[in-house]
Amino acid sequence: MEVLEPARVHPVVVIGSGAAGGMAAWNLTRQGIDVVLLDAGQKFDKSGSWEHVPAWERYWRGKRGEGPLRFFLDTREQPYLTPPGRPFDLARVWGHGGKTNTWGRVSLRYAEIDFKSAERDGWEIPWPISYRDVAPYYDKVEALIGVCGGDDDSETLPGSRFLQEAPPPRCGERLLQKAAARLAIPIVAGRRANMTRPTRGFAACHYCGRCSEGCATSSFFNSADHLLPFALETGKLDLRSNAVAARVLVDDRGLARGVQYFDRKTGAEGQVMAKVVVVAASAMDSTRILLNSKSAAHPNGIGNGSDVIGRYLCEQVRINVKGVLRGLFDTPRRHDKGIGGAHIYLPRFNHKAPHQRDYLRGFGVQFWNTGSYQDGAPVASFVPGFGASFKREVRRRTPAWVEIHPFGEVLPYADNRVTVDESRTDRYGVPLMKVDYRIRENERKMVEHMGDLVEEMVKAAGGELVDYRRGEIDKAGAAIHEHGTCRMGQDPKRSALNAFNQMHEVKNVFVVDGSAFTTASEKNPTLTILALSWRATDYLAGEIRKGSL
Amino acid sequence: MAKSVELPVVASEGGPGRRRVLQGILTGLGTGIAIPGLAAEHPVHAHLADPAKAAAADAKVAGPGWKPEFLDAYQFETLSSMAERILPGATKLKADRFIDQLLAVDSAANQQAFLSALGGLDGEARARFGKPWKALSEPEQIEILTAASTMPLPARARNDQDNRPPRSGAAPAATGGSSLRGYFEHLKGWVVGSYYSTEEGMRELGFTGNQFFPSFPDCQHPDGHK
Repeated sequence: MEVLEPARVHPVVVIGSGAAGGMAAWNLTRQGIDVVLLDAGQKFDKSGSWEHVPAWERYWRGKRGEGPLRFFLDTREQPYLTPPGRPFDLARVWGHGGKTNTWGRVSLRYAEIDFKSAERDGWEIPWPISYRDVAPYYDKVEALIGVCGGDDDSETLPGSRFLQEAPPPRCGERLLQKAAARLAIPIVAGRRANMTRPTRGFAACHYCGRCSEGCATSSFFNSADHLLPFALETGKLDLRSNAVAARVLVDDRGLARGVQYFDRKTGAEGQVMAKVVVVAASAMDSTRILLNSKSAAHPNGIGNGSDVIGRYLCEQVRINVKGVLRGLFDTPRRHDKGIGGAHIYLPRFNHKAPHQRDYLRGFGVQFWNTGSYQDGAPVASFVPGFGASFKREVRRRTPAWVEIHPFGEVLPYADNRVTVDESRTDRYGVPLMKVDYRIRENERKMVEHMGDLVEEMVKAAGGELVDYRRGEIDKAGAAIHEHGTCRMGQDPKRSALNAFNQMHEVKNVFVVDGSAFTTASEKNPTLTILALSWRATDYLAGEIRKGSL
Repeated sequence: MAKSVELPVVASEGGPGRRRVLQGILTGLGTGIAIPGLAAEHPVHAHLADPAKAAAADAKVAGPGWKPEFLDAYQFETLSSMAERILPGATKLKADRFIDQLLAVDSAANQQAFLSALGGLDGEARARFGKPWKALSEPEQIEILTAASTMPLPARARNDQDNRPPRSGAAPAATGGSSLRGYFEHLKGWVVGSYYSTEEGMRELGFTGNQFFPSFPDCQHPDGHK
C-alpha cells in the first residue's frame, strides 16, 4: 500500500467530534491552538429533520422516497463481534457531533461518592480525581450548553447554580414523586440539556418532544451545532469529514506522531501528522483504535503495557417497567411530551440507611415515556377483552401510562473487555472489535432492589404494573453508556491514563471520552465527558504553551 | 395554561391518512424500535415497519372496487365480522381490508397462522351453535369471544415463572398456539395493530399532532393530584 507522508506536522489531531472530541477541538482552538479534527462521518443535514412532520405526512414522504435523518451506524458497514450467546448492543453514530445528535440529554453531575467509590468499598482502583477537581468544569459546561434542573442538592447528586428552569413534572411524574416521598426517597427535577431559555443565540426549547429525531432549532446541546461552528470561526480548526481513524502512528521512541485514517467513501488511506493525538472516538471505537495501534514499542496496543486497555468495560444495567396509575384513568389527555424523556429523576438513594443492601454501588431511576401523549397505543395490547368495553378501557387508561427505568452501575471487571480480532477485518482491512461483556452477582442483587423499589413505588402511587416480569433486564449495551476501557488512575500498572487523561506510557496521547472513566456510576456520562475533556485540554493547552509537548 | 399552537398539517396527497401513524413513528425512530402496543413478534409488526409494503396495502384498500386479495369472500366476511366485534369501528377504518392486503404479501407461515386463528374461531362457532361465525347472532358471537378471551392459557404459552397475560398480538406460540385463547389473541393483535395505526384511531386516544409551547404548561387537572 502506497502511503504519501504529508510534510506538515500539526500541533494537535483530535479523533471524533462528539461530546469529547467536539469539546477538545472547541477548547483548544479558542486558546489559539491549531487542530485537525477527524470525523468518521459528515454533518447531518438538519433540513432533513422530521421531528415536526406529522405522523401521517411521513407516510407520503416515505412513499416519495424521502426519509428522516438516520444517525446510527449500520453494522453491515462496520460489524463488531461478540462471543456466542453473549450479545452486546452497540450503538455508534459516525458523523459530526456523534451521539450528541440523538442523546437522551440527561446531564447529571458525578458526586464525591462516585469519585470515591473504590475508597469506600475497595472494589478496583480509585479515580485519581475528586469532585472538587471537576466541579469548576461542571459549572462551565452547564453554563455553556444550557442544562435545566431544580434547586436540589444531595450527597449523590450535587446541586448547581448554573441550571436553567426545569419544566414542571407531567401528571404521572407528579404522582410518582409523591409516592416515592412516602417511601422516604426523593424524586427531583430532571437535569437535561434542553435549553428552557435562549442560550448563546440558540432558541429555547419549544416542547415538541421529538428531540431524538434531531432538533431543527438546536435547542438541546449537540456538539455539531454548539461547539464545532464556534471552533471553525476561530480559523484554527481543520475539520475533515469521512475520515475513519484506524491507528495512532508512533515514532522510534514510541511517541505518537499522527493518525492513520481511511476515507469512508473511497477507502483511500490518509495520514495526519501531529505533535499530540487526542483520542475521542467514543469509548468503544477509541479502544479499538488504541488496540489496533500496535508497534515495536507498543506490541499490545499504544500505551497498553499495563494490559488494562480494553478491560474493565462498564456499561450500565437497566430494567424497563411499564404501568398505569389509577388516579389518572379517564383524565383529560394533553400533549405532554415536553422536553422528551423524563422531567424528573430519582437520584441514587441506597448509600445510607434504611435503603442500604448487600451489594456495591447504586442506581438512579429515569421515567421516559411517562405521560398521556403517546405515539401508538401502548396501552392497547395490555387491556384484556374485546368490544366496546375494551375500546373504552384503552381510552380510559391511555392518560395513565408511566414508564420507569432504573439505571445501575456495573462494577469494573477485568474480563469484561474489548479486544480486536486480527483475523476479522473491516472494509479497510482494520481488525474488528470484539465485545465480551456480562453482568455478575452484584448487579443481579441490584436488579432485585430495583424491582422492589419499582413495585413499592407504583403500589404507593395507586398504580398497577403491566407486562411486568420481575428481574427482566434490558439487553447488554442498551443504555449506550460504555466506560472504563482506557481508565484513569494513579498507578500506571493498573491504569492507562493519568489524572488529566494523558497516557502514562505515551505522554503525547490523551484519551478524553467515556473510556477514560475509572467507574461507570449509575449516571449518564455525557456531562462528565464534557467536563473532563475541557479539563484535560486545558491541561494540554498549558503543556503546549510551556513547550512540554 | 399557555396557549398551544397546533402546526398546520401539510396536505397529504390522499387526504388525511389512515394507518400512517405507527409507520411514521417507525420511520422516524429507525430500526430496532418496537411499535408501541404490539408484540414485536406479531406479523403485523413487520408489515407496519415496511413503508413500501404498508403503502401498497393502504393504497389498495382505499381504491374503488376493492376485493380481498388473500382471503376468499367467505374468509373476508368472517374477518370483517370478527374485527368489528373485537374492536367496534374497525371496518369503518378498513382494518379488515388492510389486514387482507398485508396477508397477501406475508410469509406462508404467517398466512397459515392467521388462517388457523380465523378458522379456529369459526370452527368454535360451528361446534357450539352449528353455524359459521358470520351467521351467528350478536349474543352468540359475544359468547364465543367471551369464552375465548377469558379461558386460561395453556401451560406452554407461559414462560417459566411468568404468569403475565399475553400481549395481544403475540405470536401464536406465545399465546397458546392452537388454543381458542391463542386464536383470539392472535386475531386481536392484527385488528388492534391495524386500527390504532390510523390517524382516526390515534386521535381517539388523544393524539394531537404537533404542538408547540412557549413554556411547558403545568398540570391542568382540577385537583392538581393533591
